[in-house]
Amino acid sequence: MPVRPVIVFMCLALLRAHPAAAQASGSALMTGTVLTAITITGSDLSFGNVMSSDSKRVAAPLGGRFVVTMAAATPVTIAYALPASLGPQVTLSAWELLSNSVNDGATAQAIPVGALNGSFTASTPTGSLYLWVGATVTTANAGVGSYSQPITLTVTYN
Amino acid sequence: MRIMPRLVVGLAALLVAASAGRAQSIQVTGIQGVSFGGMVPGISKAVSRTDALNAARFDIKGAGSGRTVQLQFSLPAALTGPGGASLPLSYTSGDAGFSAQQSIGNQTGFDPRTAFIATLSASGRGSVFLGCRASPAANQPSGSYSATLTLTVAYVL
Repeated sequence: MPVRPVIVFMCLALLRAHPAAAQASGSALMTGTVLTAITITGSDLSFGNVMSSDSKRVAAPLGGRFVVTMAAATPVTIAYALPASLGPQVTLSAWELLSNSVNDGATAQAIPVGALNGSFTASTPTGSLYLWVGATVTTANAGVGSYSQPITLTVTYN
Repeated sequence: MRIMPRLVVGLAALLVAASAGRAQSIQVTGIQGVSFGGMVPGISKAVSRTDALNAARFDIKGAGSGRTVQLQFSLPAALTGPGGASLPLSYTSGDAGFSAQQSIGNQTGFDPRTAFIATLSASGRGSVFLGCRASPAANQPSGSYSATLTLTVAYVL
Protein backbone atom coordinates (compact mmCIF):
# COMPACT_ATOMS: atom_id res chain seq x y z
CA MET A 1 0.00 0.00 0.00
CA PRO A 2 2.58 2.67 -0.93
CA VAL A 3 -0.08 4.87 -2.52
CA ARG A 4 -1.85 5.90 0.69
CA PRO A 5 1.00 7.94 2.26
CA VAL A 6 1.51 9.76 -1.01
CA ILE A 7 -2.16 10.72 -1.12
CA VAL A 8 -2.01 11.89 2.47
CA PHE A 9 1.07 13.92 1.70
CA MET A 10 -0.53 15.53 -1.34
CA CYS A 11 -3.63 16.48 0.62
CA LEU A 12 -1.61 17.97 3.43
CA ALA A 13 0.71 19.71 0.99
CA LEU A 14 -2.31 21.23 -0.69
CA LEU A 15 -3.44 22.55 2.66
CA ARG A 16 0.01 24.02 3.17
CA ALA A 17 0.14 25.61 -0.24
CA HIS A 18 -3.16 27.48 0.16
CA PRO A 19 -3.58 28.74 3.68
CA ALA A 20 -6.83 30.63 4.23
CA ALA A 21 -6.27 34.31 3.40
CA ALA A 22 -7.41 36.15 6.54
CA GLN A 23 -9.09 39.49 6.32
CA ALA A 24 -11.26 41.55 8.57
CA SER A 25 -13.38 44.66 8.27
CA GLY A 26 -14.28 47.45 10.64
CA SER A 27 -16.84 50.19 10.24
CA ALA A 28 -17.36 53.66 11.63
CA LEU A 29 -20.08 56.23 11.19
CA MET A 30 -19.42 59.48 9.36
CA THR A 31 -21.63 62.26 10.70
CA GLY A 32 -22.46 65.91 10.17
CA THR A 33 -25.21 68.38 10.83
CA VAL A 34 -26.39 70.89 8.28
CA LEU A 35 -27.30 74.05 10.09
CA THR A 36 -30.18 76.34 9.31
CA ALA A 37 -29.15 79.12 6.96
CA ILE A 38 -28.71 82.41 8.79
CA THR A 39 -30.99 85.27 7.85
CA ILE A 40 -30.84 88.86 9.06
CA THR A 41 -33.46 91.53 8.67
CA GLY A 42 -33.20 95.04 10.02
CA SER A 43 -35.23 98.15 10.69
CA ASP A 44 -33.81 101.66 10.88
CA LEU A 45 -32.50 103.51 13.89
CA SER A 46 -34.32 106.76 13.25
CA PHE A 47 -33.56 109.99 15.10
CA GLY A 48 -36.35 111.91 13.45
CA ASN A 49 -35.98 115.67 13.22
CA VAL A 50 -33.01 117.26 14.98
CA MET A 51 -32.19 120.94 15.31
CA SER A 52 -29.05 122.32 13.62
CA SER A 53 -27.21 122.34 16.93
CA ASP A 54 -28.67 119.79 19.22
CA SER A 55 -28.29 116.43 20.95
CA LYS A 56 -30.89 113.73 20.81
CA ARG A 57 -30.87 110.21 22.18
CA VAL A 58 -32.83 107.19 21.00
CA ALA A 59 -32.68 104.36 23.53
CA ALA A 60 -32.08 100.89 22.18
CA PRO A 61 -35.50 99.39 22.90
CA LEU A 62 -37.01 102.18 20.80
CA GLY A 63 -34.27 102.27 18.19
CA GLY A 64 -33.21 100.09 15.32
CA ARG A 65 -33.87 96.37 15.43
CA PHE A 66 -32.25 93.36 13.82
CA VAL A 67 -33.88 89.93 13.71
CA VAL A 68 -31.49 87.01 13.19
CA THR A 69 -32.75 83.49 12.46
CA MET A 70 -30.31 80.61 12.80
CA ALA A 71 -29.94 77.10 14.22
CA ALA A 72 -31.18 76.82 17.79
CA ALA A 73 -28.64 76.34 20.56
CA THR A 74 -25.74 76.84 18.17
CA PRO A 75 -23.12 79.48 18.97
CA VAL A 76 -22.59 82.27 16.47
CA THR A 77 -20.30 85.26 16.33
CA ILE A 78 -22.02 88.55 15.72
CA ALA A 79 -19.79 91.30 14.39
CA TYR A 80 -21.05 94.85 14.20
CA ALA A 81 -19.81 97.97 12.43
CA LEU A 82 -21.30 101.22 13.70
CA PRO A 83 -20.91 104.59 12.02
CA ALA A 84 -19.14 107.42 13.86
CA SER A 85 -21.28 110.05 12.20
CA LEU A 86 -24.18 110.59 9.87
CA GLY A 87 -22.37 113.38 8.02
CA PRO A 88 -20.49 116.66 8.55
CA GLN A 89 -21.18 118.07 12.00
CA VAL A 90 -23.56 115.20 12.76
CA THR A 91 -21.81 112.81 15.11
CA LEU A 92 -23.02 109.63 16.74
CA SER A 93 -22.00 108.42 20.18
CA ALA A 94 -23.04 106.42 23.24
CA TRP A 95 -23.98 103.36 21.25
CA GLU A 96 -26.21 100.88 23.02
CA LEU A 97 -26.84 97.27 22.00
CA LEU A 98 -29.41 94.92 23.50
CA SER A 99 -29.98 91.23 22.80
CA ASN A 100 -32.83 88.83 23.50
CA SER A 101 -34.02 85.45 22.25
CA VAL A 102 -37.59 86.73 22.30
CA ASN A 103 -39.00 89.89 20.79
CA ASP A 104 -39.00 91.94 23.97
CA GLY A 105 -36.63 94.87 24.28
CA ALA A 106 -37.65 95.50 27.86
CA THR A 107 -36.13 92.24 29.07
CA ALA A 108 -33.16 92.25 26.70
CA GLN A 109 -29.59 92.00 27.93
CA ALA A 110 -27.07 94.76 27.29
CA ILE A 111 -24.10 93.96 25.08
CA PRO A 112 -21.04 96.08 25.97
CA VAL A 113 -20.03 98.28 23.05
CA GLY A 114 -16.40 99.21 23.48
CA ALA A 115 -15.70 100.44 19.97
CA LEU A 116 -17.47 101.13 16.73
CA ASN A 117 -16.30 97.78 15.39
CA GLY A 118 -16.64 94.77 17.65
CA SER A 119 -18.09 91.32 18.05
CA PHE A 120 -19.64 89.03 20.57
CA THR A 121 -20.74 85.40 20.81
CA ALA A 122 -24.39 84.48 21.12
CA SER A 123 -26.64 81.44 21.13
CA THR A 124 -30.39 81.19 21.29
CA PRO A 125 -32.64 78.30 22.29
CA THR A 126 -35.38 79.52 19.97
CA GLY A 127 -33.37 79.89 16.77
CA SER A 128 -34.23 83.60 16.72
CA LEU A 129 -32.20 86.45 18.10
CA TYR A 130 -33.41 90.03 18.45
CA LEU A 131 -31.00 92.93 18.67
CA TRP A 132 -31.83 96.56 19.40
CA VAL A 133 -29.55 99.46 18.68
CA GLY A 134 -29.62 102.92 20.22
CA ALA A 135 -27.32 105.92 20.08
CA THR A 136 -27.04 109.65 20.61
CA VAL A 137 -26.82 112.04 17.67
CA THR A 138 -25.15 115.42 18.18
CA THR A 139 -25.32 118.24 15.67
CA ALA A 140 -23.09 121.30 15.70
CA ASN A 141 -24.34 123.87 13.22
CA ALA A 142 -25.18 121.05 10.83
CA GLY A 143 -26.60 121.80 7.43
CA VAL A 144 -30.25 121.27 6.75
CA GLY A 145 -31.03 117.97 5.10
CA SER A 146 -31.38 114.24 5.45
CA TYR A 147 -28.52 112.13 6.74
CA SER A 148 -27.98 108.39 6.81
CA GLN A 149 -25.26 105.79 7.28
CA PRO A 150 -25.42 101.99 7.38
CA ILE A 151 -25.13 99.84 10.47
CA THR A 152 -23.69 96.50 9.46
CA LEU A 153 -24.23 93.24 11.30
CA THR A 154 -22.42 90.05 10.25
CA VAL A 155 -23.41 86.73 11.80
CA THR A 156 -21.38 83.55 11.33
CA TYR A 157 -21.54 80.11 12.92
CA ASN A 158 -18.58 79.39 15.17
CA MET B 1 11.07 0.33 2.63
CA ARG B 2 8.44 0.57 5.37
CA ILE B 3 10.07 3.60 6.87
CA MET B 4 9.62 5.77 3.80
CA PRO B 5 5.82 6.29 3.97
CA ARG B 6 6.05 7.15 7.65
CA LEU B 7 8.76 9.70 6.86
CA VAL B 8 6.62 11.27 4.16
CA VAL B 9 3.61 11.55 6.45
CA GLY B 10 5.80 12.95 9.18
CA LEU B 11 7.20 15.63 6.90
CA ALA B 12 3.73 16.54 5.71
CA ALA B 13 2.52 16.79 9.27
CA LEU B 14 5.39 19.14 10.05
CA LEU B 15 4.41 21.33 7.12
CA VAL B 16 0.87 21.53 8.39
CA ALA B 17 2.09 22.28 11.88
CA ALA B 18 4.28 25.06 10.51
CA SER B 19 1.34 26.43 8.59
CA ALA B 20 -0.89 26.33 11.61
CA GLY B 21 1.80 28.19 13.55
CA ARG B 22 1.37 31.17 11.22
CA ALA B 23 -2.00 32.14 12.60
CA GLN B 24 -3.85 34.46 10.20
CA SER B 25 -6.11 36.20 12.68
CA ILE B 26 -6.59 39.93 12.27
CA GLN B 27 -8.91 42.41 13.91
CA VAL B 28 -10.08 45.83 12.67
CA THR B 29 -11.84 48.17 15.04
CA GLY B 30 -13.54 51.38 13.98
CA ILE B 31 -12.63 53.81 16.74
CA GLN B 32 -14.39 56.82 15.28
CA GLY B 33 -15.77 58.03 11.96
CA VAL B 34 -15.25 61.36 10.26
CA SER B 35 -17.14 64.03 12.16
CA PHE B 36 -17.99 67.19 10.23
CA GLY B 37 -19.86 68.86 13.05
CA GLY B 38 -22.00 71.79 11.98
CA MET B 39 -22.05 72.68 8.30
CA VAL B 40 -23.42 75.77 6.64
CA PRO B 41 -25.41 75.30 3.40
CA GLY B 42 -23.36 76.25 0.37
CA ILE B 43 -20.01 76.10 2.15
CA SER B 44 -17.87 72.97 1.86
CA LYS B 45 -16.08 71.66 4.91
CA ALA B 46 -12.96 69.49 5.01
CA VAL B 47 -11.68 67.30 7.83
CA SER B 48 -7.96 66.53 7.82
CA ARG B 49 -6.66 63.03 8.57
CA THR B 50 -4.43 64.68 11.20
CA ASP B 51 -7.43 66.10 13.04
CA ALA B 52 -7.49 63.97 16.19
CA LEU B 53 -11.00 65.01 17.15
CA ASN B 54 -12.74 64.69 13.80
CA ALA B 55 -10.78 62.36 11.52
CA ALA B 56 -11.81 58.71 11.20
CA ARG B 57 -9.61 56.17 12.95
CA PHE B 58 -9.36 52.39 12.66
CA ASP B 59 -7.08 50.27 14.81
CA ILE B 60 -5.63 47.04 13.44
CA LYS B 61 -4.51 44.16 15.60
CA GLY B 62 -2.80 41.38 13.71
CA ALA B 63 -0.90 38.24 14.56
CA GLY B 64 2.86 38.10 14.37
CA SER B 65 5.26 40.93 13.79
CA GLY B 66 5.88 43.05 10.75
CA ARG B 67 3.20 41.44 8.61
CA THR B 68 2.24 43.06 5.35
CA VAL B 69 -1.42 43.90 4.89
CA GLN B 70 -3.63 45.41 2.23
CA LEU B 71 -5.91 48.26 3.27
CA GLN B 72 -9.06 48.86 1.26
CA PHE B 73 -11.72 51.40 2.11
CA SER B 74 -15.36 51.22 1.14
CA LEU B 75 -16.03 54.93 0.84
CA PRO B 76 -19.52 56.43 0.90
CA ALA B 77 -20.12 58.94 -1.88
CA ALA B 78 -22.48 60.97 0.24
CA LEU B 79 -23.99 61.44 3.66
CA THR B 80 -27.69 60.76 3.93
CA GLY B 81 -29.94 63.06 5.87
CA PRO B 82 -33.54 64.14 6.43
CA GLY B 83 -35.97 62.63 3.95
CA GLY B 84 -33.14 60.83 2.18
CA ALA B 85 -31.36 64.07 1.31
CA SER B 86 -27.88 63.46 -0.03
CA LEU B 87 -24.81 65.49 0.91
CA PRO B 88 -21.83 64.78 -1.40
CA LEU B 89 -18.45 63.67 -0.06
CA SER B 90 -15.15 63.83 -1.93
CA TYR B 91 -11.74 62.28 -1.35
CA THR B 92 -8.29 63.25 -2.55
CA SER B 93 -5.01 61.38 -2.84
CA GLY B 94 -3.68 62.29 0.59
CA ASP B 95 -6.85 61.92 2.61
CA ALA B 96 -5.87 58.61 4.24
CA GLY B 97 -2.89 57.79 6.41
CA PHE B 98 -1.33 54.70 7.99
CA SER B 99 0.70 54.60 11.18
CA ALA B 100 2.41 51.45 12.40
CA GLN B 101 3.08 53.38 15.61
CA GLN B 102 -0.64 54.09 15.92
CA SER B 103 0.18 57.78 16.16
CA ILE B 104 -1.89 60.39 14.35
CA GLY B 105 1.21 62.56 14.27
CA ASN B 106 3.27 59.95 12.44
CA GLN B 107 1.35 58.84 9.36
CA THR B 108 2.21 57.79 5.84
CA GLY B 109 -0.39 59.31 3.55
CA PHE B 110 -2.14 57.38 0.83
CA ASP B 111 -5.07 57.60 -1.53
CA PRO B 112 -8.15 56.12 0.17
CA ARG B 113 -9.75 55.44 -3.23
CA THR B 114 -7.25 52.69 -4.00
CA ALA B 115 -5.83 49.73 -2.08
CA PHE B 116 -2.70 50.42 -0.05
CA ILE B 117 -0.05 47.99 1.16
CA ALA B 118 1.17 48.62 4.71
CA THR B 119 3.43 46.86 7.19
CA LEU B 120 2.19 46.33 10.72
CA SER B 121 4.45 47.02 13.69
CA ALA B 122 6.56 44.42 15.44
CA SER B 123 3.65 43.88 17.78
CA GLY B 124 1.26 43.42 14.85
CA ARG B 125 -0.47 46.77 15.32
CA GLY B 126 -1.32 49.71 13.12
CA SER B 127 -3.83 52.52 12.76
CA VAL B 128 -5.50 54.03 9.73
CA PHE B 129 -6.79 57.58 9.62
CA LEU B 130 -9.10 59.26 7.13
CA GLY B 131 -10.27 62.76 6.36
CA CYS B 132 -12.44 64.03 3.51
CA ARG B 133 -14.55 66.93 2.31
CA ALA B 134 -18.32 67.42 2.55
CA SER B 135 -20.02 69.84 0.19
CA PRO B 136 -23.53 70.84 1.24
CA ALA B 137 -25.56 72.57 -1.44
CA ALA B 138 -26.88 76.08 -0.95
CA ASN B 139 -30.36 74.64 -0.49
CA GLN B 140 -29.23 71.63 1.57
CA PRO B 141 -31.97 70.65 4.03
CA SER B 142 -30.94 71.23 7.62
CA GLY B 143 -30.61 68.28 9.97
CA SER B 144 -28.41 65.34 10.84
CA TYR B 145 -26.55 63.38 8.15
CA SER B 146 -24.58 60.15 8.34
CA ALA B 147 -22.96 57.36 6.32
CA THR B 148 -21.06 54.16 7.08
CA LEU B 149 -17.36 53.95 6.33
CA THR B 150 -15.74 50.50 6.13
CA LEU B 151 -12.09 49.47 6.12
CA THR B 152 -11.10 45.96 5.08
CA VAL B 153 -7.67 44.67 6.00
CA ALA B 154 -6.21 41.49 4.48
CA TYR B 155 -2.86 39.81 4.86
CA VAL B 156 -0.74 39.87 1.76
CA LEU B 157 0.36 36.26 1.20
